[in-house]
Amino acid sequence: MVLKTLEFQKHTHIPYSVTRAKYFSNGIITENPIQLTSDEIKSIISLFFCFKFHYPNFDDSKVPEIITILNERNLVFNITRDFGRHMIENLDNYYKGWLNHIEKTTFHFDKILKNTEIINFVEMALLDFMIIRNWEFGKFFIQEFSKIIIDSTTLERNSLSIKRALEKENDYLKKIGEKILESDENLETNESLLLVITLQERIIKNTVLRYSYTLTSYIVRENALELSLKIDTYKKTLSKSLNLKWSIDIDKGKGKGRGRGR
Amino acid sequence: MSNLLEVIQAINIQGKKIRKITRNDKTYDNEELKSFHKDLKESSYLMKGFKIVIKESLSRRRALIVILQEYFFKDIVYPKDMIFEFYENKANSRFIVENRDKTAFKTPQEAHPKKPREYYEDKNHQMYHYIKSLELLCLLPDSYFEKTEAIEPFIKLYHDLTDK
Repeated sequence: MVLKTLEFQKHTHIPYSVTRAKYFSNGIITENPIQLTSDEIKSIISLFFCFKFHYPNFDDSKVPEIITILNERNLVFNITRDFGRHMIENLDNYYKGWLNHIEKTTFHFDKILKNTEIINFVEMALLDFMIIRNWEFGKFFIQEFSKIIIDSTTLERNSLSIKRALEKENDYLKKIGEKILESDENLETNESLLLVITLQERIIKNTVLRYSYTLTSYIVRENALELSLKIDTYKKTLSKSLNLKWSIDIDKGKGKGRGRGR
Repeated sequence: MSNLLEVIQAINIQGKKIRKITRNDKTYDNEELKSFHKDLKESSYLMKGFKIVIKESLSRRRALIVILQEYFFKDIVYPKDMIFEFYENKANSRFIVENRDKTAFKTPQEAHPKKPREYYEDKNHQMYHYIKSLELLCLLPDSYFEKTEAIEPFIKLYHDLTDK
């Protein structure tokens, strides 16, 4: 079995509210079963992917989270949704055939979220492959999340000097970790790790390990809602870290300090 | 040492192992992928201490296939008196089983049939669906199976079904 890595291509996402409005008129659902357009069904499947990824065996207690996901205003859940869509666009021939079959099916729109065939498809063609694609998700997530929690002006102003300071370090990851702790010591370990990887991604990009991306995926899977509620905290922490003094050489004068702290 | 610096130390240890799980970032190298997941599994206990849960989610059918294979790979037919629910529970504790809807695959024979060629006969579509279910499990058997002696006959089964 040859498995390809994902190719990220442009796609058209149709918000759930738009599709829903289309098949409702004056608040009443169209009586006859309907066939959705390809983009509509793929968009809905990507939302299924999102809530099944974060809440694999959801029950009624998870209804508020499902509503949040369907509203599509939560920035963290939307990243997962978009990743799901990229997976849909990269299916192998067998699963593409299954998707084509679903696209040709007619649905009662009000029952679509309970459709067993779609749920089976999401599980077997998408979620089961996350064991392999976790790192791809982690990478995609960090790239997208960093756009939300890092202020680009602060990053631009400081990234070069931080990069230079890190290049002098044997253990640059430890250095980033220390700066995150200096900025906010109250974060949970998994949150601060996420911030460390985010800074690593944006400052010394090609050094992030697949292992780190994979850990990212597991952190995000379990904590999506919490992460989205703390976006402002992360923004502050990262802004503070970026504005800290990272280089020790400058403080200690020429020649001194070099090689210390290693 | 703070927890964060401890996690970073664990990451640095992984960084010393060169794992090229993809070829030119285009396709996966299956052998490297296996080693990568072995390392990942080994670090799961440590990571749990930092609230990072390394546990795979798996569809009910694939989870059942794994458990049934482990318990019955030596049997020619499933025992008549077996209690399916026991294996269902085993699957649920091993993996995060995504769907607990039990309307499909109500018997072991439906989930992971003995003599699959006979069982599916002319139902090509169902047979292919079954083969695709096996395929992913064959890619990373060590990540799914705990009873390692069940792996070899499992991979043989996959090859027997896919050889033309």
